Amino acid sequence: MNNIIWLASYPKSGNTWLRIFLTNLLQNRDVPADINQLEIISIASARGVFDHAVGIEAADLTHAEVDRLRPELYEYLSNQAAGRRFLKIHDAYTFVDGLRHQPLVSRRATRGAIYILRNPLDVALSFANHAGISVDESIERMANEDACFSSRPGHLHRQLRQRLLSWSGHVGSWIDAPDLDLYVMRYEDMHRAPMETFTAAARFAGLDAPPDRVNKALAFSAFREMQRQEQDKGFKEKPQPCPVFFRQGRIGDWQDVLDHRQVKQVIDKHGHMMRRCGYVDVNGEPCEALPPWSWAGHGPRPHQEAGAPDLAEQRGHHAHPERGEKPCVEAVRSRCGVRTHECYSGPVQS
Amino acid sequence: MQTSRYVHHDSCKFCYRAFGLTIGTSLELPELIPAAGEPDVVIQQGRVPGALKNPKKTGVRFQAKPGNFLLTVDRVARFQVLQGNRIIVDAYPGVQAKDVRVFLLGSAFGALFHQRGMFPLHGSAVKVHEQCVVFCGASGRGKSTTAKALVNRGYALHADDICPVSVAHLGNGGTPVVFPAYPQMKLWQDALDKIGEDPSGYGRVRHVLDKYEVPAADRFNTQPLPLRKIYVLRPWEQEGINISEITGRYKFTALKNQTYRFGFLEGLGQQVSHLNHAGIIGSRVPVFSVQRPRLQFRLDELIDALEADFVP
Repeated sequence: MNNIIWLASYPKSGNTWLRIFLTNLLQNRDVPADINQLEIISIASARGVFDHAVGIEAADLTHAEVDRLRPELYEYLSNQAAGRRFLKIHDAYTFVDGLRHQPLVSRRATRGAIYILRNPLDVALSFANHAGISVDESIERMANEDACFSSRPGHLHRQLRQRLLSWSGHVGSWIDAPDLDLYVMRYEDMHRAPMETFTAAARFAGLDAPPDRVNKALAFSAFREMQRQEQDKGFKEKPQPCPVFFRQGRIGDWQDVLDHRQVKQVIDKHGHMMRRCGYVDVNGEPCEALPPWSWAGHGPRPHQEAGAPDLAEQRGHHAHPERGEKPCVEAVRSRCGVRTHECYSGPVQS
Repeated sequence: MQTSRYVHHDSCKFCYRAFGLTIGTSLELPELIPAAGEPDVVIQQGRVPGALKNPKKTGVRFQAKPGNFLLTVDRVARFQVLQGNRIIVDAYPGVQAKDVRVFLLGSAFGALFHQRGMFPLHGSAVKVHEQCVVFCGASGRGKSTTAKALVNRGYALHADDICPVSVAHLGNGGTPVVFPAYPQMKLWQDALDKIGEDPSGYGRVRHVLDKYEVPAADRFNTQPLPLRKIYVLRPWEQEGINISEITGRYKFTALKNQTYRFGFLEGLGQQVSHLNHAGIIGSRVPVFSVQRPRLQFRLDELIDALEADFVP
């Protein structure tokens, strides 16, 4: 029974915001959800969940042994769930060594995924603040194909080892994952067009999302509200080197902080993926995230607008996965966005 | 609890005493203290089925029904635990004996304790003022590190990782008693670094892990002790250490959450009796939350705070 919907992202790309929004939408209460009680949507790499379900402690296993058990763990969680279950995940979409063609997330357990994407220039800055490292170190980590979370040898981390790959490796692994029903949302569109973006995400997941409920969930997950709660009671997911988790919540901050050398470094490494995702223009220069995707499919097609990157040209807007064609991000978005949510929840609700 | 009627024969080449049990075994368990006597539990090598018929509970690598528990550790061994008095070990060809022991003395014994109706806590224990204090908490919270730091300050080790609490006398208003385990601890490399010890003198728990077997034979308590206090180690966002009592339903929840292999109880049909025992233990033993900074905390400061709390 495939019940799991992954909330997937490279770190610092807006995953927590989406989780808080969905928690509020699901709980549908008169007060905002507590940011320290988001257990309704736990993380895929939680050690305790693994230990309890498997019957063996991950602490007595190697990372490779743990990875070989994770697909079955997710199948178990999927079978235990009464209906759809959301799981946050920072792991890249990888295949497990030693298990033929089996992705870490288990095809059998997976109903779909929402992938959250953010301009890597802003991610570099946000990640530096989060981890208490310099921007240069942050850029270096984002370029490293072997980057992992929770993998320092000789140390027992809170979570299981998560393979991130590089930033563009991570993005590509999810958006080009074969046979995966996927909705891609950009952090920038979450800011600029929240109603459309979050509604489409909720409907993709098969949730009841009439405008008044979405509005309420948006208000309860607004940045100011998250900041207020963190100031009041702290945020248990914040790592210690980071003074504040809900720090700025803005887009484009990189322009004030990153120097030319750092920007060039990021674009040199990730330019191809940035172009696919609308973060660099036809000249390879950074730009505001184009096109505005959250209403792609409703208005004029983005690739028809002047100056917009031709995502369509890369793979064709109507990519055919059965012919082995990998869809471009925009095509994936419109394939698995508002139009196809009826697969999960019945007729379209207007 | 029926006593074992298992006939002792020469498959029990070795005999040990641990957890309040005499253990006869064909597998050597060098961590345990040798003993003699009629075994309460027999461990033997043999064939173990791949699955149980009609299990009550199936996890990812275990199955359970009353009196029968099956555990599979890929490329290491399969274990079957029967009636609280027998463990069959079916080892993968060529596997290292140490690897088998990690899971035998871990999850397999956890199932055994539950089958015997004991109350195993997931924690490490030391002897304080002729009684036992137990340090519980999620993996990585510092249970073993804390216990080792106390052992280095002169306290005797009582158990590491599993603290088997006996519930045998609870009905008569008795104090819960913790049985001694065996004189060895398992510590990660950076935990040893924090304590200021060099791991190179110790063997690895498994050759593939940077976790070490740290002997404690000269500082080990061999007699059962009354359970005086349970401390649950928790991180927090602030500086400093805070020790506060957990009361009411949070206490009951803490005892449940700190049970070793709580997930096995449902299949073994022991949930109700376990929860009853949790209620009784909770009424006789105080439970404290020990909050410490998530990273970068001074271990000495934590141990000082705990020693100050060890009033008789």
